[in-house]
Amino acid sequence: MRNIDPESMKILIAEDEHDIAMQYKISLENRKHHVVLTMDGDECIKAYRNALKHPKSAADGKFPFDLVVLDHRMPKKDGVDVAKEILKINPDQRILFASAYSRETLVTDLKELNRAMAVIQKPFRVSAFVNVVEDKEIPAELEKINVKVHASKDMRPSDDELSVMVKTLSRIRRPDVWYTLGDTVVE
Amino acid sequence: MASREEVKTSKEELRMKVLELKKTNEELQRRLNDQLLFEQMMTLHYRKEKELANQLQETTRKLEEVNEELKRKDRIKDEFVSIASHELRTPVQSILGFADLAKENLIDQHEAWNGVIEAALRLQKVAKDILDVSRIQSGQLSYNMSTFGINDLILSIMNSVRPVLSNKQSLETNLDEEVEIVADKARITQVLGNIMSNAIKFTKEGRIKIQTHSLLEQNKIEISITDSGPGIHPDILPNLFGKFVSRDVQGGSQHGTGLGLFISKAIVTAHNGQISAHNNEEVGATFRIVLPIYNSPPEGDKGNGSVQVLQHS
Repeated sequence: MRNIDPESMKILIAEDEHDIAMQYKISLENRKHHVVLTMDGDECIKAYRNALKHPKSAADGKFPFDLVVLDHRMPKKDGVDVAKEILKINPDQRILFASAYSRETLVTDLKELNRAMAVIQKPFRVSAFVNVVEDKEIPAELEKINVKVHASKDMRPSDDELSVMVKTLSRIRRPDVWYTLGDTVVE
Repeated sequence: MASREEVKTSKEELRMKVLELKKTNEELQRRLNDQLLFEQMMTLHYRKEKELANQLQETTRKLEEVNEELKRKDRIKDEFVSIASHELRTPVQSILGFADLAKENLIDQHEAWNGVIEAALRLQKVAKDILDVSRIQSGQLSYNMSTFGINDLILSIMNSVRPVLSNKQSLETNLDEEVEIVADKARITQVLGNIMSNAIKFTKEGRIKIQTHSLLEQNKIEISITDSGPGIHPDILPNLFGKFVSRDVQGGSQHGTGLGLFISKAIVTAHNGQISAHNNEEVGATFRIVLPIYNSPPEGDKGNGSVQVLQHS
């Protein structure tokens, strides 16, 4: 395990498979994290807005959740659309996709988010999932990349910039995790 | 007066001139013929050229059409592979999760085993459905035909689904007089079982009614399965029998492969039957299956005609 933060995190999860959602909850609560489960895209956005409206602490006013875990294929609204809405409210919200779709299918949709995203590819071991959730290096590096992406012209980094970003993503490789940045996939 | 000699010379000259003119005329005629022939050939040539150009245009158009169709099929295939792999990976995730949590003693062992078994059965169903779809698409789904009574089959399916009913769900029948059909019993059981389990899944509280109605004039039997659930979402109704279309577009965690109705339609169609679905006026949905009735041949002519194999294409 690397860079595991022992602090308790607030995690919002959207997962329509009941068994898998329960498994996330059990494994994360075992690590003393606070988990809010939602079963579809609409419910997830509602839970996010609701947490913003009724913050339990001053910090919650800006970031109601330390992490949002999104499945992609869900009833009512898919994960990428949920991500778009959440990022509109809070462009710095940390999001992790957990999907059974192959990367070929997901890349096109994730491209629309105009940022580097992390995806944990189902099926994965529970330990791999917990490690990625608690990993602080991944969000820190993704955030740095995304600041650069948004500073570049039309949010299109030059070839040189892109090559540096890809190197960074290669450095934070983890089992079952891949990253997407525009058309580029690092796994 | 011209002398006789002079006249003779003039005549000779005239004859020569006539001959010369004749020759010239013949030459001109020949040239004219050549010219006409050439023109005819050119006309033919142009016509042929135009024909060829048209043919080429037509071939190009046809090739473009074929190309578009291939691209469309390729997209459908990619989509199929993508959704199929998603449907296969999801139960594997469930199995891995239960096993990992049980190993760490984070979940009740009994609950974990039940979860593993349920996910494994789902995986088995997805794999079976994908195989069926692939056989349907390549025209390799074969049918073992036999003669059997439709009411018998319906009653046996009802007996097998009854144990899964909750006390808020009821199963009713209204069956016409028994008729025999010639069909693949296992495949027709698959179709009716699929539609009945869908009806039960979507009717949390209420009734599921199975009726048969002989359409004797058409030599057909109509089987209808009516539920009092939420009905079929209008958005998916037109493409309900397509691949990976699930009735639970607005539902929560009800899973299905979304292939059952596609397979059902292929099976019913291969039996020269029809399958359709509609929402009822008040509540719920009705699935209607029409199959040909088997007419037993006159006495003494029975032979062994009860077995034949249909090939779906």
